[in-house]
Parts: sequence; structure tokens; C-alpha cells
Amino acid sequence: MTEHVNDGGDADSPVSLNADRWVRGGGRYLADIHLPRELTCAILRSPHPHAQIVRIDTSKAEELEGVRLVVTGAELSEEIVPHGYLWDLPGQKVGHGLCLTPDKARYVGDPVAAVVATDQYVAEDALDLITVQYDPLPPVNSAQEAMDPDAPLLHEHWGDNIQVRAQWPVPVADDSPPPNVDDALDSSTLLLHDTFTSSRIIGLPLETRGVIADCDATASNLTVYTSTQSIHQIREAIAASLRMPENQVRVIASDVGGAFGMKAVVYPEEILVSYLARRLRRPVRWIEQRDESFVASMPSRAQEVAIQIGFDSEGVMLGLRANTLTDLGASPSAAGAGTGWVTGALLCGPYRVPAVDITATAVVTNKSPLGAYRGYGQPEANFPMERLLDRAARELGIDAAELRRRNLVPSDSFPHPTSTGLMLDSGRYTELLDLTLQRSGYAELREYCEHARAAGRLVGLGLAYYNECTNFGPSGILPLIGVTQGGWDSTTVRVEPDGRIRVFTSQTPMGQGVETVLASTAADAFAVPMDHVTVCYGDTLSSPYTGYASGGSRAAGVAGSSLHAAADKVKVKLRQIAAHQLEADPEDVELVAGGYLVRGSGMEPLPLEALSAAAYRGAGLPDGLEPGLEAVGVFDPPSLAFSYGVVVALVEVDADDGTVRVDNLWIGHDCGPQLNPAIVAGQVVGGALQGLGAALYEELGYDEHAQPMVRSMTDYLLPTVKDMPEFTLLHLETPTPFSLNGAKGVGESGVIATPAAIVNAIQDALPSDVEELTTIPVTPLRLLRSLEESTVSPSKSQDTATHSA
Amino acid sequence: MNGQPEKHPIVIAVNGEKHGEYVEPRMSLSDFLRDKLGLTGTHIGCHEGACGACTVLLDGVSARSCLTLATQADGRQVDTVESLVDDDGRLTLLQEAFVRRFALQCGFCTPGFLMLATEIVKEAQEEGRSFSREALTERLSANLCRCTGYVPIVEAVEEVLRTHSDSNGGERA
Ligand code: FES
Ligand code: FES
Repeated sequence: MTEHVNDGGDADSPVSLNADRWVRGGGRYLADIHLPRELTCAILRSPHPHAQIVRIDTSKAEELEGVRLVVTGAELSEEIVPHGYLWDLPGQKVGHGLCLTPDKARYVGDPVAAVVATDQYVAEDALDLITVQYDPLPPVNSAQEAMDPDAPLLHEHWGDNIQVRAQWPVPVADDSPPPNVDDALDSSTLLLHDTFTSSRIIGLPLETRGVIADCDATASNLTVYTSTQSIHQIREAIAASLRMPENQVRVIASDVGGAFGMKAVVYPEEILVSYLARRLRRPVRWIEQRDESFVASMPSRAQEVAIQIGFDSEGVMLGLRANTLTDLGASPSAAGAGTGWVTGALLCGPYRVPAVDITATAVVTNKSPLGAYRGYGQPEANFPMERLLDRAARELGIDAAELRRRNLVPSDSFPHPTSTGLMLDSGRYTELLDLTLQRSGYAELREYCEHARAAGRLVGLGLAYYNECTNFGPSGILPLIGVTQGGWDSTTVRVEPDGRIRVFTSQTPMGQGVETVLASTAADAFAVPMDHVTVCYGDTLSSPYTGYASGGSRAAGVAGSSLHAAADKVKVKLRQIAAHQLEADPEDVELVAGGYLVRGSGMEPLPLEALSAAAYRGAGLPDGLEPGLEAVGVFDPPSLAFSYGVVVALVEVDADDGTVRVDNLWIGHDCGPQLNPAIVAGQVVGGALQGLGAALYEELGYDEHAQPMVRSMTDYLLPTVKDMPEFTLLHLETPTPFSLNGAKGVGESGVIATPAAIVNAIQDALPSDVEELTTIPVTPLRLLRSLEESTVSPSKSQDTATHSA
Repeated sequence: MNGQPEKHPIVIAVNGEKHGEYVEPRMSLSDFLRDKLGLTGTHIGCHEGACGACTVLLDGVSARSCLTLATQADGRQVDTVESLVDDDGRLTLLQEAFVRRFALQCGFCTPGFLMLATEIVKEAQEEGRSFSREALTERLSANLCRCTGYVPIVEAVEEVLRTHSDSNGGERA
């Protein structure tokens, strides 16, 4: 059990384009940028979860030396247009959409006023000098409470606290009615139900957010540096909110120190800081402080799923009913409602479930607004499904893996339409299960656990299967599911006059390695070494357009395909020039390493630089051919692509202190052809460790007064090196028919099923009378409480335990 | 509130070069390095001592520069990630191993890990200490990485420790 992490082999993967710069300390992250004459903004945030703002006195702050401007929400509501929504589900209600709340604070951290001063220290001093008179209101503390008809209202004009509901199956007018779920559940041999909670957690990139806005002297052109995944979305939002044309707003994402979905959509500060810079006609910077980030940046998950599944005697699922409840926090963010929608739509995962009845409800509470975090609704769907499948296996006396095999979509049924209206593109689900069971030694591991438990140790094995919705698009479908951006991507490829290649991508690197993947794709396309390629990104001035941007695990498949489309166009032209110069038919000319030649001629190839020189001189070209060598390629995926995999976890529980040690994770995985196996491995392993954090440690708790219990990084437990399990990765490569390169996404794979696999393993480790674990994280406290109730707890002494696996 | 706090003169040898500045007593060493000297390779992940992204060597010993006041470094020697390459810009074995093994994704934690690992490698080299996997992870757990899952970071450091113990050889790649 010591297999090396990367079974996919990293020997031939080109190393990261940026790594050499970064190890020298040469990164240019947001806070590293300084502009002449810049001022610093700091934001005053509400200490109350729910309170009317009666009066704000900013006079003392304004008098402090070094303070240039203080603004309040009431003042700005006249000047700033509310922001729009990336996810705008039918019937969804919205909040005020302003950068500073004008009248009422709805969560601890709600921005109330902003100071602009000479530096961070002075700006923070000034915050202390602002006095706000609040009239506290009773807070809504939980999603359940929000549903109470007598609950206080966050947005009075809504009439209740429910933001939106979505339902499956989606009625289709001209279709036969979907199978009746009541009949399905009634006819089942085993009917199980339970409620599962995925706690509120946060992506927590190590680089906090930040915005630096620079305005020219005429106040008509704005350049905004921001740590984001979605430059075009941010440009659109700033332009709309400040009533500016988009061609006068430039958004730049410099090096992004991690994002994980948390930087996917527009934030109030991006608009606020832009506004301040324009008003002052000076650069203004705002760097999110870490303590601030726990209330100001968007958390995710925070979802309860009440689920009921009926099985026949063989363990085959007949029907599923579920109600999901998302705790959206105070005002819906641009992405908030989407998570619950995704959970509902993807609840069936990789399985055939003939009849479903699913309702997803999202409500507002007095907590920080919910947004995206890697996985986006999918881990919340996976956890209840995989927990309940384990229980079904136990009750029916069928092995947990075998029960899954009986329900997985068979390889010959793709493309497979799901009961929630999605299309699973391709896969070899059962084959990957078998491979993973075999390579992990699943059967022997089961025995090993039994022996260990007989000796008094709490050792357990768990598995969870998942699929991952990737290559997010297509544009035609997105409006139907409430997404307001296009699902297509574009890439510009330019062969420079000297034959070197420049790729302009719409995607924003944030550690996922897209720049490296695209560089090697371009190098392959033109048969040149990778160091002949550079990749430009992160600047709306030069980056081609993308709407949905760098989320939904779409870089490799969607952006990669658009690069292929662009390269193909350029290559058509290169071939014509080569044919002209070689006096041959273009059909007979081919590209080999080193350039173009006449097929089978044995000649020295005409190098790219000779052809590009002609293209740029505009001489020596075929009649009528346009000079230059540049093309835009666009790709809109015809359908989604589903990566998939299975996670097997081996854990040991310490009955004395309630801690869990994850010894091994075997991850079988298929994202189609791996464009760069080392990057794939990095995504899977990094994601899995985040999944481990979600399973065991991470939680943004609120106390009974709706006060956040996490205000610093020491309160929020992240996995450390010591938590690192032994990883074994196994890969299949099943291409999707829905991208030009067959690639599917990988960004979210690791994080989806790891929590369920770990919790299944914990349950397996515990005495059989311990009640079902239904909430993550399984903290030591929660675990000890469960153990206390067991009558067959193992002896508290661990003298028989030797820690080896 | 009356004016700015009084400033103190300090002299710090940063990456072998002496820098004299007047600083406010509350200025952290990390802000001094980044804002006064423009050494932005030292990153701030939390400014509260939790993440280790700001790790530098203070008189050769790893320290969190966000928790260290600039005035505390007065008269002392500070080494940051920018000091690692040699005069010709060549990477150390550690930096090389980080690149080759993909021990970084977003790169934000990298300078901190490199400085921490530099200290570890130095101990191995100069004091002949050897590090078991457990001892190494204990030391590296001082810093956080949100991207890589740590596996390649540990492997990169182990590789360099092995190289040194095998060859006792040169510093540079
Ligand atoms: S920035 Fe110093 S420990 Fe995080
Ligand atoms: S590489 Fe991103 S935090 Fe470590």
C-alpha cells in the first residue's frame, strides 16, 4: 500500500509555465501591484447579524489626517446600479445588489461604509472613528428557522425568506409523463430515508481577494486589477453598475493565488473600489484582510438534503425523493442559487434512477452570502446518495461496491439521459470500479479491517462513486437553467513574424495549470517545442471573450477545443503559403516537426519562420491571401461532459479523542484523455485533500445569535501536511464525444466523493450500533458524541492498536 | 486622533544588503519587506501567524515575518525567497525540485515553503540531521498549502534531502 501517487505518470508532462518564475518569488499577485498616487480603501462592516441602520456619523473619520473620503451605503445607492446574477433561476428573488447596504445590515460583515486613506494603517484607524447607530433586529439563524412562517424577514418585500425553488423532473410539454415516484417507492423492498448536512465551508484560497482600480484623469477609462476567475463577467458588472460602456473598462487578473470557485463571480468590492477610483480620479486599492475574508468572501455548501430511496431486493434503486434546503445567507450572491440547483439536478450521480421527485429550496438567513466553492452543489449531492447506498448495502447484505455496480449506468448505455434531464456523455463506470477495487486490494482490505476491529482498533473502509459535471455549456441550454452567461469560449492563436507562437486564452490561470495545458496543446498543433509558445491571459484588453469563464471545469475541454479551432484556421493559411512557395498542391503539403514539406518528398521542411515572414511581409503569398497569421477559434460544447470516478478510503478512528486518521485514498478516475497527467494528478490530489478537510475539519459555524464563530485562520482548521494520506491514482481515459480533443474537466473531481468515502469508512470503523453519521464535518466532538451512545464501544485502552496500514 | 505615530530608525541586512529606514513601531517585517523594499516574493496569506506564506529566515532561522515587527529585525539579517538563486540566476536544488515535481499550483504558498525547506535542508547538511517522513511532515506542517494536497511538496523536499545525504554534493542544480 505504498504505491506512488501518480499512476498516470508525470515523466513526460511539461512542467508548469509559471513555476520557474514563482519559485524565484517573481509572482505578481494582486497585493504586489502598486500604482503611483494610490490610496487604500478599508470597509466598515456590520457587527450585527440583523439591524436597522439608524444613523452613521463619519465626521471624526473624515478629520483624521490621511483620510481622503468616507462613503456610506445610503449615499451610494443613488449612484450605483445593482449588480446582476450569474445564476438567475426562474422566479428567483433578489437582494439590493449594492456594494454598501443602504439601510439595514443583514449579516455580520455586511459592508456599511468605506474609507479611502493614504495607507492600510490609517484607513483602519479611520474605521474605528466611524460611529453607527444600529437598531438590532432578531436574526434568522438557520435555514429551518427561515422557513418558519413567523420568522423575521430579511427582505420585507419578498413576503417570506424563500429565494427560489426548483423541481425535477422538469415537465416537458410534448413528452410522456415521467415515471411515478410514489409507485416506485411503494413497490420497493427496502425504503430508506435520512437527512444529510454539508456544513458551511469556504474555498479559502491562500491569497485573499483584492481590487486595485485605476482611473485616468478624465474619469472615462477605468483599469481594474482584481483577483478573479472571470474577467469578462467582472468587466460587465462594473460597466453596468457604474453606467460605463464596456470598452472603457479594462479588467486584469494578475497571478491568482488560488480561487476554487470563491473568486468566480462579481463581489461588491469590485464595484465599490472602481467607483471610488473614478470619483477620486486616483488609483484606489483594497486588499481583503484575512479576518475580514471569513465574513466578506463567499462560503459554500450549507445544505441539508432530506432523501428517500427505494430499492428492490437486489439493491437496485427504483425511485428517489428528495428535498434540498440551501442556507443562502443574507442577500443572494451572483452565484448563490446555483448550488442548490446543481445538487438537485445531479443528485442521481452516476446511477440509473428511473423515478425521481426532487425539490430544491434556497432560503435567506442572517449569514454571509453563499457563493461557489469547488464542486458547487455536487459534493452536497454525493454525500447523501453515497451514505444511503452504504446503508442499503448493509441492510440488504450486499457488498457496498457490488450494490453500486448494480446501479451504475452501464457502459453500453451512453449517452444516457438522466431522470433530471441531463445527458451523461460517455464512460466505463463499472470497469473503473473493478479496476479500483482490484488495485486497492478491496477484498483484502475488508478482511484487514475486520481483523483490526476484532483486535479493538476502529479501522474502516469506505467507498464512494461520483461523476463530475464538466465542460460547462452549451450556450443554448444555459438560459433554460437560469445561467445568464454564454457557455462558449474563444482562443486567439497568432504565429508571430519570427515563427514563434502566441496563444491568447479567455481562461484565467489560478493554479489549475490551464496555461501549461494550452501551451503544450499549441506546441503539438504546430509541431514545435513548447518553449516556442507563450500564453497570454487575464486581461480583457487582449484575452478573447468568455462568459462563464474559468469555472465548471471547462478549461481543458472547452477552451482547449477553441484553441484547436483557432490553430486549425492558422494552419490552413500556413499550408496555403507553404504550397505556394513549394509550388505544390496544398493537399500534398504536410506539417512535420520543423515545418511544412511536400509529403513523401524527403525534402528539408520549410520552417514556420519562413512562412510567417512571408505572411507578415505580405509578399510571396498566394493570390488573394490576406497577410498576417492570426485567427480566433470559438468552441461551444454541444453538451456537458461528465468525468467520473470512485474513491476508496481506509481510516482509523481514535476512540479516546475522536480524531480520524485517513491512511489511504485510492482514487479511480476518468476525465477522458489526460492532456497533462501531472496536472490531472495535482487537481485530483489537491481536491481530495480539500474533501478531507470538508469531511473532518472545516466549518464556518455561527452561534445562536448568528455571530460567526470563525474570524481568523486559527479558528478554521485546514488540512496540513500531517493529514496527507497515502494516495494511489488510477486512470481510465474515455473521451467525450462533445469536445474536439475528447477532454473532460478535472478541477472538481477530487473534492466530490472524498467526504462520502471518508465518512463511509468512519461508519465502517465504528461499532454497529453507532447511529448513522449524517453531518460533515465529522469533528472529534461529533464523533465522540456518537461513540458515547454506543453500548458496544471498544475498550478505551488502545493497547492493542498499532498504527500501520 | 493626532497625526501619525512616531517613526523609528532601523537597519536590516536583507538578502545580504543593508537597508536603513524609518518605520512605525507597529509595522510588521512582512510589510517592511514588501512595501518598503518591494520584495513581494514574501506573501501574506493571513497576517496572523497561521499560514506560513510569509516565512523568511531571520539570522538563518525560519520566522513568520507577519508576526515579527520590523523593529525586532533591527540589526539582524533577513533572507527572503529572492535570495535563493545564485548570482547567475540559477535555482537551488530545492527550487528545481519544486518546479519539476509540480510542488506548486497557484504558487502563493511556495516562497514560504521554500524558506522553511531551505532551513530543513541546511540542518540536514550542516548538522547532519536526518529526517524521517514523520519528522519532515511535522516540520512542514508549520505552513499551509490549499492547492497541492502537499504530496509533491513533501516529495520535493525528500528528494533534495536524499540528494544531499547521497552525495553530500554541491548546492546548485
Ligand atoms: S502571513 Fe504570516 S503566517 Fe500567514
Ligand atoms: S500552491 Fe496554492 S497554496 Fe500552495
